[in-house]
Amino acid sequence: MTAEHIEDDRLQMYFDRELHPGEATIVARHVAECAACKKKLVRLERMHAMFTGAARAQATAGDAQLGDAMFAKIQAGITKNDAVPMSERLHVVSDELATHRRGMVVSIGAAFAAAVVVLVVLLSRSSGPAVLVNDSVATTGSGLPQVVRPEQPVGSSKVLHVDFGARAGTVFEVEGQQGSAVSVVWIDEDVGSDGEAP
Amino acid sequence: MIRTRFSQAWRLAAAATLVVAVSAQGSAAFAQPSSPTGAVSAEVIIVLGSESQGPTDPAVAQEPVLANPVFQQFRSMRILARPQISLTLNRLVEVPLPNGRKLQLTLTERRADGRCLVRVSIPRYLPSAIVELSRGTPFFQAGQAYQNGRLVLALRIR
Repeated sequence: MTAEHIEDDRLQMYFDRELHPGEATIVARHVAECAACKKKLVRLERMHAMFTGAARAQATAGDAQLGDAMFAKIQAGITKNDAVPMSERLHVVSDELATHRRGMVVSIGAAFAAAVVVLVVLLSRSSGPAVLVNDSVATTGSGLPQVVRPEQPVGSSKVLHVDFGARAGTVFEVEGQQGSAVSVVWIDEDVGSDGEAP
Repeated sequence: MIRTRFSQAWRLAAAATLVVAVSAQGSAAFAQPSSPTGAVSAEVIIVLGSESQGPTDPAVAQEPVLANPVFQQFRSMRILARPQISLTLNRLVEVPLPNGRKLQLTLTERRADGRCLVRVSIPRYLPSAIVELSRGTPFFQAGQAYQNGRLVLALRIR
């Protein structure tokens, strides 16, 4: 604030009632005595009045337009409904219900189809391929570990690994029940030893 | 409206799929003889095969595998023992054999489809074998000398 006039910011704050009461009193006294500051304050009041008035006017006009539009829609709806007889309106409702039922049927059908697909996938995974393996023979006499081929039908017995030690042995794969593959590990031993061989 | 029905359909389909998947898995688990961590019932059939003429046990005759050419050298087959055992994961089970040896069995793995991995060994004869077994399908080990014949061992899980 200068010695003679109040700064614009302070005057604006005074106008907005943002000054402390004591300071506002000082500004009020100055404005009452200073024509220039009073003129500024009046200008602020006018501008404020102009803006608030414009805003109110716009809001009022907008509300009126919105209200008119809504009222027109409601009127149109009422007129349209009045134009359609009750029997036809009920018919439309029943059609909608039928459409809804069809939608439900489609939904249930889709759900059932998806469930069947999942079930088929799960069953096919659990049953495995129905591959029948012919009898095969694998022999080793070296005592080295022997690995039999990995792919086998489910429902079979399979030798994954065998260690014959110092003996000679054979792994047979023969056909079992219902085409299943059955593994036989055969290790010969001299008859008469009765298993008591060293 | 149409979009809402489609989303409802998909929601319903997803829910039904989930229900079917869970129930299928549940039924598959239920179909197994016991829980994956539980014991597996099994039996060992100890058969003596001999080249001498003699009777063959009817129970042996019912096993088509023993009619395979692999076993055709035996003119008679007799069941000596049929012990029922219970295999627990990583626990050794010993089955005494008529020749004084012991059949050692260890369940090493239980699979979700019901198959089991079993380590088989007979000290002083068969160091070790890892066998994958399906329920009902036997695994055979044969060749041990005993009483002028040979032992045929069948291991079958239930």
